[in-house]
Amino acid sequence: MYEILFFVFAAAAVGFAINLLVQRHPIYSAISLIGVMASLASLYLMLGAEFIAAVQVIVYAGAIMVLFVFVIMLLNAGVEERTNRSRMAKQLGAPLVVLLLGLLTSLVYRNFPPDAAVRFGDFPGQTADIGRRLYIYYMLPFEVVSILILVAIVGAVVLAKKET
Amino acid sequence: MTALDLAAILPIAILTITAIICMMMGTVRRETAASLCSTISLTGLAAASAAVIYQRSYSGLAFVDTLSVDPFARYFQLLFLVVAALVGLASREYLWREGMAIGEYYALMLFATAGMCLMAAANDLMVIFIGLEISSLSSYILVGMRRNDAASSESALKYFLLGSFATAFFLYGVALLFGVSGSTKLTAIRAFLYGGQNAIPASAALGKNPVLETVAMQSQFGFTGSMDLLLGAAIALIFVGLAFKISAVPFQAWTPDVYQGAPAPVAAMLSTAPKAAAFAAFIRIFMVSLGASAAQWSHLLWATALLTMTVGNLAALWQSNLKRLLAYSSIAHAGYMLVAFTSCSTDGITAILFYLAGYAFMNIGAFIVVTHVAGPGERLTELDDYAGLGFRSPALAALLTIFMLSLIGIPLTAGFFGKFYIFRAALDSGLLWLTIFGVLNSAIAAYYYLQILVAMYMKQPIDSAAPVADMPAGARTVVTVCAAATLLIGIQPSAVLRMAEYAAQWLPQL
Repeated sequence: MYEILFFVFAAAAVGFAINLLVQRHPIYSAISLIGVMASLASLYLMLGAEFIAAVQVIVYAGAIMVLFVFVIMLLNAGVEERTNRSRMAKQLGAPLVVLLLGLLTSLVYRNFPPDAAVRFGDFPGQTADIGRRLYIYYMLPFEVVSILILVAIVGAVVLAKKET
Repeated sequence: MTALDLAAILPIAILTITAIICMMMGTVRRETAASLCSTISLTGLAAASAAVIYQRSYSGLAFVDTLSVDPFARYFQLLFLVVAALVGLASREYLWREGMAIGEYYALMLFATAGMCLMAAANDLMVIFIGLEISSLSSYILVGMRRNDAASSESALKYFLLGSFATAFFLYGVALLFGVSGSTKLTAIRAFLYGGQNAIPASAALGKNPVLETVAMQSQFGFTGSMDLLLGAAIALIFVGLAFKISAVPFQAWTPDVYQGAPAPVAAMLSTAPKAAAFAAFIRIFMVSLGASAAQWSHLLWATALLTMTVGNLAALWQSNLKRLLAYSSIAHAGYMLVAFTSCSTDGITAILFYLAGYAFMNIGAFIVVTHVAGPGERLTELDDYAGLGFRSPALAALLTIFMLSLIGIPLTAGFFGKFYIFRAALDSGLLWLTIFGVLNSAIAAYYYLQILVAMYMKQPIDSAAPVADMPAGARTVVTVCAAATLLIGIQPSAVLRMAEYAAQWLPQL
C-alpha cells in the first residue's frame, strides 16, 4: 500500500513538473505547479513530516500560488511566444541536464541503497520538536530572516512605485 | 542573551536600525532626504565600526554556536563598513543627479552591509545562506534602481535570475553536507570530518534530537565508503554557488552585463564588498570545515584560478566600454585571489585579505571617477570619451592614473604589494606554474589599463566633447581618500598586512 501511494505521488510530482514546462499558457503552468506542490506535500506526509506537509500546502500550494494566479490574471497574460532558443542551450542543455540527474541519482542510490520502507511516524519530527529547535538552536537565523523579508518589501516598493 | 551574544550582534543591529531610519526618509522632502540620508548612514556606519572594534575584548561562539566573534570576522566587517561609507558618500550627488530614490538606496546599501557582516561572522551554513541572500537581494534591487534606463532593469533581472540559480546550488550543497556530517555548524562539520567515525557532531550531541542522531549515525556508519562521493558532490555544489558570487570562470557571464547596467556607484560596491563577503564565506567553509578534504578541492581551485585570470584578462582586451572593462578586470582580480587561495596556507589567506583591502580602495576610486566622467544619464562611458581627459581635466585624469597603475600592480601602489604577497604565498606552497601564469596574466592586463592612460594623455579630445564639470564634494572626498589609501598601502603596507595576518592566523591551521 505504502509503495503504491509513494509511486503514485512521485509520478504525479514529476508529471506535473514536466507539464509545467511544456504548457504554453501561463495559467496551465501555474495549475501544474499546484499539482507539484500538492504531490510533494503528500510525500512529506508519508514520511511523517506533518508540519512540513501542512506548511507546503498552506504556504506554497495556497498563498504563493494564489499570488501567481492573481498576477497572471492581472496581467492578462496570453499564450507565450516561443523564440528561437540559442543553439548552445539546445545542444548542450539537454545532455548536461541528463548528466547532472544521472550523477545525483547514482550518488543517492549508492549511498542510500534500497532501505526498509519508512512507515508513517518513524521520524519524530513533530511540530513541537521543530519549534524547540527553531527557537533555541536556530534563533539567530530565524530572527535574521526578518531583515531579508524587509529587504524584499522595500525592493518591491522601490521597483514598482510610480515615478515621481 | 549573554554579553558575548550582544557583542556579536551589535554591529549588525546598528546597521539594521540605521537602515530603517534611512528608509523612513522616504517620507520627507527630497531635498531634506538628500542631505540627511548620507549623514545618517555615515553616522550608523561609524557606530557599527565602533561596535566591531569594541568586540575585540570578546572571543568565542555566540548564539548557540551560530555566530563567531573573532579577528577574521572583524577584519571583513571593517572592510565592508569602509566600502559602504565610501560608496554612500560618493553616491550622494549621483542619486540627486539621476533622480533615484534616496532613502531606499541608502537603506538597501546598509541592509546589504548587514547581510555581508553576517556572512563574515557566521559559524553556521544556514546563517551564511541567509546573509548571502540578504546581501544578494539588496544588490539585485540596487542594480535595478535606475528605473528610467532599460539597461539597468535588464541587468537587474539577469542578475536576479542567475543569482537565484546559483544560490539554489549553494543550498543544495548545504543540504548534502548536512546529510554527510549531520550538522550545519562549521566547527561541528570540521570535527566530524577530521574525526571520521569517532566524532559525534556537536549539534546531535547537544540537541538530543533523535532525527539528528539517526542521521549522524547513518553518516558515521557509511562514511568510509561511498560517503566520500556524497561529500565530493556537496563540496562541488557549494563551490559553484560561491564561485558565482566571486564571478569566477565559468560562472562569470553575468558580471560584465550587470556592472554595465548597474548605477556606477553600485557597480563600485558590487565589485568589492559582496565579492569580499563571498570570499569570507568561501575561506571559512573550505578552510575551517572542509580542510580535511583539501586534496580533493585544491585541484578544482587550481583550474578555476587559472581560467578566471586568463579569461578575465583576455576578454578585457576587447572592451571599449569602461564599465565593462572594469568588470572583466574584476573577474581577473578574483582569479589572482584564487591563486592565493589555492595555496591553502595562512600566508595565502593573509594575501587574500590584504588584496581585498587594497583592491577595494583602487577599484572604488576608479569606478567613482568613471561615474563622474560619465555625466548625467551615464552616457559617456566609452574609451573614446576619455580622449584628452588629461588636458580637459588634469586632476581627474591624474587620480584615474593612480588607480589604473595600482590595478596593473606598479610599485608604490597597493596593487603591487597585493600581487607580491599573492605570488609569494603561491610560490611558497610550490605552485610554480600557477605563479608563472599569474605573472604572465598581469603583463597582459597592463595592456588594457595602459590603453586608458594612452587615451587620456596621448589622444586629442573629440571636438564635440563637453568640458568635464567639477566633481561634487562627496565624490571628491571619496576619490581623494581612495587615492591616498592606495598610495599609502603601496608605500607602507605593514599596518594593513599586520591586521590581515592576525585575522588569517586565527583560522585553524591546515
